[in-house]
Amino acid sequence: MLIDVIQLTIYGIVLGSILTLGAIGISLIFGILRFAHFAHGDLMALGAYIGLGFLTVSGWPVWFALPAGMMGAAAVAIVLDQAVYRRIRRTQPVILLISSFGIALILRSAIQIFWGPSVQNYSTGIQLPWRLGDIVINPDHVWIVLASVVLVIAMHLFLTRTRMGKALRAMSDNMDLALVSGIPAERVIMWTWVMGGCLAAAAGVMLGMDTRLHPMMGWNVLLPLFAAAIVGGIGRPYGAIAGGMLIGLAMELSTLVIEPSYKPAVAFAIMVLALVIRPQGIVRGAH
Amino acid sequence: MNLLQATDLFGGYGGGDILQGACLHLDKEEIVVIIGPNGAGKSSMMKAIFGLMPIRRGEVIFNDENINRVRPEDMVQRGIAYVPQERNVFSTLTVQENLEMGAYQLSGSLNERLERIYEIFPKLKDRRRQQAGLMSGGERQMVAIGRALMIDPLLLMLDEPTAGLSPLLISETFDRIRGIRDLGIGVLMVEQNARQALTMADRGYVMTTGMTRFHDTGAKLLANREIAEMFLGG
Repeated sequence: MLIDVIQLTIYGIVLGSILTLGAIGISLIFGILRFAHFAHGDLMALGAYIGLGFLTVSGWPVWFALPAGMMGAAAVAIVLDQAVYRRIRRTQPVILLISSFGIALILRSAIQIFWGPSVQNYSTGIQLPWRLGDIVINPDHVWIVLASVVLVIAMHLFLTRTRMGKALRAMSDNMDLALVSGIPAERVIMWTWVMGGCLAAAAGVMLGMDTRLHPMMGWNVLLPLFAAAIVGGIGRPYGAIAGGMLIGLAMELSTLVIEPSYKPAVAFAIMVLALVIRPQGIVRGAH
Repeated sequence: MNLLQATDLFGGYGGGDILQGACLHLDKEEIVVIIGPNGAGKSSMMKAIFGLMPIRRGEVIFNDENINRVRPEDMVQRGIAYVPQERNVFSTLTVQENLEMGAYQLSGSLNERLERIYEIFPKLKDRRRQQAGLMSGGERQMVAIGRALMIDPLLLMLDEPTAGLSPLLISETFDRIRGIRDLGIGVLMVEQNARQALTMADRGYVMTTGMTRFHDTGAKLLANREIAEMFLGG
């Protein structure tokens, strides 16, 4: 039993790292643009597939899928914003939300057109897991957690040390004051998409390494992603870290008592609970 | 030396004009205060000048240039800084980050500018790493004014800078504003504490129903019995 708990905790941390990266993007985009970006899961999947495409073409080692996917997804995010979201930015948030649903479908169909509907893998080789007594550790899992930590630290440095990062936080905090201070809103919005796209692709590539690639892979984690962002207090990127870890751990540990197929339901239940008990999120802020 | 000249302003947000022919001018290095009852259009006047409210008729001239259609984010480059009445700090950012955001459009090192602000508000230097949202009302007001001063403006616009402050802090704030004027900056402000504001201002305007009814030096407005009875509570 204890071994099971430790083993599942490890899986939970891995899943939590992946969810965190996606949820940070959702939170950032909500903070700046005030709408729930429902295409984020599929943007994540597209990033994973762009990474796969790069590996196929270049023949380079698996880890190069990460930077390739990140750059690709950031570019796609900018194009989507310029072509679609920017034109309807001044309408109601619900219109943006529904549009992002449409974008989600478009991205998923694009994946199916280019890469087909079947399951794919980054590498076909079998990895030997490390054994610590009865606990099994997959080397990929260690790399996934480490890469997530590095990316979160990079995000933190960007948000607190660079002028653009500070402007991003300022705009998320107080849009009107940002405007009268002369902060260029459109440039900040572009950087928000770059950040959101990069982190989403990173999450997608890691999810693909952990399991495999499938056109539905992003859509399937959309609910846990939103659960993580909402539990952490949507609009607060740092809250998404706590939210992602909580949801990831809860989803994996729940398999001790209920069927694994109910994992998304666990995320949903926690999200509803959070909205009822603590709608401002678990991390305190000055909002 | 005319810095700002607003002539015959009409404007609003689409549902009828809030401003009904308001006029105002401000010289370089002068403090001008706008007083008047609630709903007279004082804040709207400020917003119209700063490009936050559409102007339908009339014109705003700043430094010999028409700025009717200049967007708020471009006002900063012309040397106009604006401090709104409410939510005028980035509450989740530190004091220093708030100040840095004021000078976002400027390139180069900010250290010199930051030091100048800390000279005006020494208290902010000790607390530069504190989150602005956790500070008292008076301190937040310093952060807000400090942020606006970062661009080294020619004109500083303050919408009710003493709202919600204690009497002691009100006179302290007015002293500071005089100090800012003495640095060569024109100050246009809206005030509820009309008596005190007129005492320290160079000139004042009295607004009612979207129009500027009276204007004169602060002292003369204070001495005017009609104005005293109508707008200063006798």
